[in-house]
Amino acid sequence: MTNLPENLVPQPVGDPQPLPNRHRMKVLNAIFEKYALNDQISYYQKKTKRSRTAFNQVNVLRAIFAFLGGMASAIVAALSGADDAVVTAFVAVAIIAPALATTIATYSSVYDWERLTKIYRDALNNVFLADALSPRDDMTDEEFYMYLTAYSDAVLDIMHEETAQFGNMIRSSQQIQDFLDKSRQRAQSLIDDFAPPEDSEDSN
Amino acid sequence: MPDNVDKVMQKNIQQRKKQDPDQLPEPVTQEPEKSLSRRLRRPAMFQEFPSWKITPREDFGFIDKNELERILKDAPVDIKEEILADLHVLEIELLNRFFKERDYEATRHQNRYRRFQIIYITLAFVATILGSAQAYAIAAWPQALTTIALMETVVALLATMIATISTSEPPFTEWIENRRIAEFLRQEYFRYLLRIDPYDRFTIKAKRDMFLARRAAEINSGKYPDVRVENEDNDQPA
Repeated sequence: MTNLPENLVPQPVGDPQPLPNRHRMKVLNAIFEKYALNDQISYYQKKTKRSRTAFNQVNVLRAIFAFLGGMASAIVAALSGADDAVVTAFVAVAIIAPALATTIATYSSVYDWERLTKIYRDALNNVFLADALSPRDDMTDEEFYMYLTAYSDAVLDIMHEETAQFGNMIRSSQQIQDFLDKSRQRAQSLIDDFAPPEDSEDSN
Repeated sequence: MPDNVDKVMQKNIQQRKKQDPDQLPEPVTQEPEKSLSRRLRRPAMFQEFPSWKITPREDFGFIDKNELERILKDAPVDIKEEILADLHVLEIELLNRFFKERDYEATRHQNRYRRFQIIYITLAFVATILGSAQAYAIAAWPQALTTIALMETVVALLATMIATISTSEPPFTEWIENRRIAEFLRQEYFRYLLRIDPYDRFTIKAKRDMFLARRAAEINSGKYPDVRVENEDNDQPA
């Protein structure tokens, strides 16, 4: 006997309920498998793959821009007596490339791909486990009903858990928050500089 | 319980893990097909880039009608009618009344949230460039210092203005709340259809339908009823 979590082990129904028609159960099983289970598996698998790919793309771009910025700074230092236009071009790259690297890192934090990949992978593993309980044609009517109830309940419970935690998955980027705080301070200091003094006794 | 349940489970798990995600159909959403295929052609890091407008699909439903006909093809007539009647109730009481709107609002606010974040990131990038240009200009371009400082101030004011606009309908909170409600409604859809807890205690359809309508309304108003309820609403004999 496998060591399943308790909520995944099929339990006999409490009060005696009339057993649903086998045809009905098979049809509903087919609908649930296609539109709930497979849909959810497709969602988790695609999300996991796309998040991982996006995270890798971002990392490559960050590395490239950081490298370009470093190289441009080194070249500017080495070209101290050279033509102004050439030096200015490399200075521009030395300024823009690291800024782009930081921007891309901040953009990545909006989507939080690395963390989401782990969450969706864990949810996917749980759904696979629940799916393994799906009923089969060689079962008796009673077993079919028990397994159908247990596996659909388990899949919906997993979706329920993921939904309940959904808000905690997303976090606002700290860099964006810092930028907004600085902007507000700057705007406020401007307002304070130009605001009329509270007590103006001498007008001349 | 079948004796070889462990082996069957392991086999099922291994088969699922071998599936290529790219061969699987896209999850069912309200996004129109054209917009979805356009989005999927972009590099992965830009596939969820916010758009300026979100338009939902008009013919949205959880279950494709053609596929449903195929599944019901060999079913007895009474079973077919029963399931179609249940789907009809779900469409009226849950999908059309609540789910479509909540799902759309969740997508709209998610898009707003990301749009605001991208705008702030862009402004922060411009501010960084201007800051570095200012440092460079002190030695090389002193006459440009005032202009650069003015541009930095404009960027800061823009960021503050946009941040203030976003507080009127905070996109993050609205996104999370609407998405939570939509997903609870989706789960309720399948609980009702399969007649699993808490719908397994009703033998009278009208009572089951009323129970669904009530729970869907509660979920829509942000009250999330327990999945497993006390035995108070059933119609089983004592």
